[in-house]
Amino acid sequence: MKDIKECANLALAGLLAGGAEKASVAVYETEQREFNAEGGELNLLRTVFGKSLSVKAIKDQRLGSVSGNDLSKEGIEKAVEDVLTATESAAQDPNYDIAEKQENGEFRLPCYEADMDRFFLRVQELLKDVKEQYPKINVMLGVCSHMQSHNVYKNSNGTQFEVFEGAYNVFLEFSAVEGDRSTGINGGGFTTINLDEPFINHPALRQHLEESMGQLDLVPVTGKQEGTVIFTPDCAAQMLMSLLGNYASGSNVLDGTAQWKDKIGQQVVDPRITMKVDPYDARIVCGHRYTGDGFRTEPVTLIDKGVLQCHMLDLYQANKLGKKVTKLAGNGYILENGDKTLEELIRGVSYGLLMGSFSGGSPNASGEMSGVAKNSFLIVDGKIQGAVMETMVSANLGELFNHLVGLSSETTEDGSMSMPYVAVSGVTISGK
Amino acid sequence: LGGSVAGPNLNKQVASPLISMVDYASVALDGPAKLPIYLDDEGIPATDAVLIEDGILKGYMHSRESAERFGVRPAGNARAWSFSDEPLIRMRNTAVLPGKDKLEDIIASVDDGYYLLRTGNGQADLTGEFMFGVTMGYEIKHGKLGKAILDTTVSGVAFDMLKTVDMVSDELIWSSSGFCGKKQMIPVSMGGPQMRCKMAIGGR
Repeated sequence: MKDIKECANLALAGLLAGGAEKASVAVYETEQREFNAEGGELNLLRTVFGKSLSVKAIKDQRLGSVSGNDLSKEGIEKAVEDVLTATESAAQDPNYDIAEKQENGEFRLPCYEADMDRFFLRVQELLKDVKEQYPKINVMLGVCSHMQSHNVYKNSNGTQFEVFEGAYNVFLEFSAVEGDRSTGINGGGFTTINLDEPFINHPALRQHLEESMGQLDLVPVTGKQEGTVIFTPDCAAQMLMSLLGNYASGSNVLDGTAQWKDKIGQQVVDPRITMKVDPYDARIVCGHRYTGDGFRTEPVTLIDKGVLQCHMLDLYQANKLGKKVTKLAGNGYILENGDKTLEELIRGVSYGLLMGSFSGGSPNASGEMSGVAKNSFLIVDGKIQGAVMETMVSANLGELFNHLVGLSSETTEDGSMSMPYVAVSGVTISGK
Repeated sequence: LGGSVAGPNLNKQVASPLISMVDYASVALDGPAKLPIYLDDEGIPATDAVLIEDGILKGYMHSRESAERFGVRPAGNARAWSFSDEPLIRMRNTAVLPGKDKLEDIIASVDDGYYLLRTGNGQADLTGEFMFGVTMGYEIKHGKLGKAILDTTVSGVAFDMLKTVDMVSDELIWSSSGFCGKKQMIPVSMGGPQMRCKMAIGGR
């Protein structure tokens, strides 16, 4: 079947005819055109066509779900048969549900069609610019693609969403090499719909290239002491996602391990922190328009001036807990910036790190975490001394954001988020 | 080729002489490998790749292209996850070979240290710097196992750590639940004995 709306209609009709009381179907067709580069040279162009079908059925309070990629009539009928069979062996739970009727929507986002000629020239230019502006940088891997997606969601409450979207994704993985010295792996990238500017000027990439160049000059870190760590925007995103995942995610709230399970309306982090998810913000590319449960997404403020506004609950979790569902679908995280420049933040650090990324074990339920500071620099008396290696940081994730020193006025946007630099104190820094 | 610390160290001592490491294809020591590979995704028949022998770095894992650049035969390490992926150089069934020591003797020899049994995630870098989250471990005090430790992290530089190995147990334990996450996630298996070594262990 060529038309994915027809596929969705066939699947939904089959589910209802098969006795499902509630059902939903999501069908995707995608086309990804990807350039790869290795050793700084383009070496691959491929086009990958993707199709997927995801069906969900609730019958007698039992949930079944099946995914596949066969969109022929026979393939769809088989998926329907399989999902109805799956419901028969599922556990009963009255909390399974789909979203009530939503206003239908057809969303045509920019950049559905790719300008591959112009994209190729920008990619070629990027590799050349890296060689010329950063001759010590060795680009191990470059993956630059245009992803086009057409998807349809329908459910038995009469909701239909159809989305046409596309975007260019640019990612480089590299290290700096000088003689027999080599830095660790670094990587940076972004998602964009705009080919007007040379890619090397994108802050999300430039910052990482500069980081790697600085990593060639190491300084020793010895002993163990407490200090202030300034997270780069990427690292701040890593920390915040970990914090929200551990402390406010639906799965952890449901199983009782979330530290913030009873903290809605309470101060959980510094009052200077306001964090929201807004897929419609102009800085976010291809923000999701609907959730897996069938809700239209909405901008959601998770933390407002340090006060927890909501947990991140899907419909099942919300029903189980007797709480409101959060209509989130995965991208568009925005942390509001502060009023100090990065330079001011660095000047205020007597001992600490400017940390590019954190390589560590997942924090446990209590929030304790420890790991290696990667692509990081030592700060002493307000000045960057040099790059560090074999340096571990340890802290409690929840306490960290109550020891906020400041947020930078500068932010970095990579298409999926907007983050400032974030400085926190009370981090244990250990060297050799 | 990307600047890995292993690059300039071929045929040099990179680990204790007690350390030998092999990436097995389909048969490993005592039987079938956990993830047997007979042919890689470039059509190369899979053979074992000896990486470290008695502490000396003897070879690398290769694709057709890298093997040609190094003037060696590829051993079948290039694998792709799905039909539309390009083959990438991967580990298959990589193990440190067992030694001669008994685990109980290794524990008894440690006055103040840790016995680390299970890891969660982990990463390694071109520089040899590695990190692993430890999800199960015990203190060792005066040669005896003590209290369990909370989640913690170990780190170090691989070749530096491997040079400190001075006891290697005679058992080999395999794990086949791992993934190589380089661009495409693909199952890999790894194995090794218990080893006594020095590394940084972190936590507050």
